[in-house]
Amino acid sequence: MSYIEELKDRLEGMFSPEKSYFPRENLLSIRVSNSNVRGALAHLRDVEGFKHFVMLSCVDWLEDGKFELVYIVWHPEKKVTVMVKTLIDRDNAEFHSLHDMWRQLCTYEREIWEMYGVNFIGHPRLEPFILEDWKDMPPMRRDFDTLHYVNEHYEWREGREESYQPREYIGEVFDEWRKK
Amino acid sequence: MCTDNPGVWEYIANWARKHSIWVLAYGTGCGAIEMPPTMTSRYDAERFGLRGAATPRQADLLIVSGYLATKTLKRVIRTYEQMYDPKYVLALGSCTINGGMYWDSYNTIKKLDLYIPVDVYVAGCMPRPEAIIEGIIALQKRIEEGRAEGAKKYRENIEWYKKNQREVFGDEMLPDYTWNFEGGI
Amino acid sequence: MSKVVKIFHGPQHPGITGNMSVELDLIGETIVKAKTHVGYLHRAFEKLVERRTAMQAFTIVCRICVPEPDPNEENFARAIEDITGLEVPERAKWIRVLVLELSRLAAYHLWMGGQAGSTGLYTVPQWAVGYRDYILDLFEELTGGRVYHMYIIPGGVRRDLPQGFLDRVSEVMDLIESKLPEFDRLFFDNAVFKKRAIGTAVIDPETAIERGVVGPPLRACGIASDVRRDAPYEVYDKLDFDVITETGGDVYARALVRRREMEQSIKIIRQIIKYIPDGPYRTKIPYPMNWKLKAGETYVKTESARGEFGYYMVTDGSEYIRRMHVRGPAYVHGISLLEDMLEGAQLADVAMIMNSLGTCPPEIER
Repeated sequence: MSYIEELKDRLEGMFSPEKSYFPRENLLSIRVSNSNVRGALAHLRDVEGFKHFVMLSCVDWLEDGKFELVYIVWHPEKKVTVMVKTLIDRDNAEFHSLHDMWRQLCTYEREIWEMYGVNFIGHPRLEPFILEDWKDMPPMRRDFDTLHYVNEHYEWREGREESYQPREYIGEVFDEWRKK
Repeated sequence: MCTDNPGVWEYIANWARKHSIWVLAYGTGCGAIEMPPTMTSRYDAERFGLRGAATPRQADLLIVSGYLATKTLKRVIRTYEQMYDPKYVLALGSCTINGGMYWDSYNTIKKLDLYIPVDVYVAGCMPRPEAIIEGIIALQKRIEEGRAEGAKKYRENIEWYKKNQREVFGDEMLPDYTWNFEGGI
Repeated sequence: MSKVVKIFHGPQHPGITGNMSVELDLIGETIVKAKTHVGYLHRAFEKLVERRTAMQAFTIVCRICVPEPDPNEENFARAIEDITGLEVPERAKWIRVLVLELSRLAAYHLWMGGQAGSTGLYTVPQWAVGYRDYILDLFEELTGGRVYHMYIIPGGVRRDLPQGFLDRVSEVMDLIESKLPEFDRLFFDNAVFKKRAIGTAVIDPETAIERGVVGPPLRACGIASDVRRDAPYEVYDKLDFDVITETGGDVYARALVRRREMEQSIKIIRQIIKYIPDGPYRTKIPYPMNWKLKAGETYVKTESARGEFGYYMVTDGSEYIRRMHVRGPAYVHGISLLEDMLEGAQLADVAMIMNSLGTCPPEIER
């Protein structure tokens, strides 16, 4: 058995994930409950040797009413990647901050707070990061319609309206040319 | 020159102005990647009299190279108001004309002409250095004919420009000490 | 009793492609505290990609990173191929590696211009940006565009190599290799640059791994870590090249790492010219306008000139991509690590330190 398969059995025994599989070789994906995330990451970092933290991402599952937080870590010697995932509630989104484990998590959590509206308890500096004077809902949520926002706040240039529907415009010109 | 009866003095002044345009060194968007090749040894723009200027008070031309996020738009308008007359604006790329490829993005502006007056547009994504130089020659021709009047247009239609800016910024409008009129804007 | 002065080191920096501002607290000329502000170039790529199908999205992905667009296209294509199981022919893989290495050489030349310009040596940008134009001419002949190529697509590459292209690549490589000793004499052995760069902004190896440093700053601390060796992609496991390390961890060591990697890139390109096979250059996608992607997720990464570039992609069975998260190397280096490196530095070194860590704001805020 290779290292990554033994690692999967060990983690299944210790943290009882809801779902674990290999999307690709050298990549393991496990989904644990909210309270097990810190334990799993601490075990991976101190005991197994996954010292390098790659990134923290967030996926919006609007149909199920949940956000999914994804923590990705990398082992520098065995060259293996592990993704630790967890589901949190969408309407009252909050999670405890893990910035004392790795310092760069400060930046990732600040961006997810701004773009999705997830409150991280214990974070030292939750302030606007990329957007300035933004008053609408957090923009990366799936129910924020960006084209509707653009049509309300900005103005288009007049003339050339036919180029917004290129297929119909090209079809009309071609039909006229063919009739000649 | 911003007068209504041009004479011999304006003719000489325009000839001197078009041969020494100083560009403010500010790269605002992804179009700034074609500015170094235009200014350095291959497509040398210094033979037309262009050189970089460090501060807005010393510059004649502001090149808006590409899209503008709303955060940068505030800084660009303030920089434009700090430049001295006569001043020109060259808009580079398709994003200044109608939004370009970020046409459905909530953070970029779609039509630059609503916020500051533009003299010359150069289309493309990105325009080649030769296209940028052709835009500069078109600007030189406009200066010689006395038609590069962006600063006068901004001063005369200031309420219209400020109304458009207020729609983007809302209540956090620019402070008016760079453009102080009696009664305020 | 000296008082603390607060200044804004404004959005425009000499030598960095992009806008980012740093708020500094100074006593005299030494920096006491630094705070970064980003967000001047936000275009909301991740939201735009959710409204486009896979074949519409590859045209805008290359504009995420401005000096070096090709690793973005490569990551996007490889992520889609991982999820849907598309096979790429052998010749397409060799052509992709050729494009990536040429793009890496062009980015290193632009970096050289920026690093020297921010130190005060103004001849080097004139030379470096001029020689970079020879490589951009090759790109224009191959793909049609100088900077933004849109050439690597899911399934292969867009067109085959023109006739006689490989001879022209070989000539340009000879020219660039003959100019590297002149850059040594002018820039890398310059007494002024050495005096300013040695001992500035040192990172030690344990801090580097804890803070997630990648790329040339990590290799300059003595740790041999390179994505092309650790997780080989395309045909890098068949090519012969070295992973360059230096000890010291300061600005000068990082400059030397990048200088020696330019020679490795030229070596790789010469091997490609010799060993490239024949064959098809693209796998056709069935119904490209109506392509339903299989549900799945993956994480892929590439080695760009500044470090490890990663893409996390999730699809859900419809034609649109559910989530595409881009993580560039400047996200880790440019915000919290920069604030720590600037404490105790001199005001005149701010631009030099930002350039040596590889801060590129367009990819921090996408």
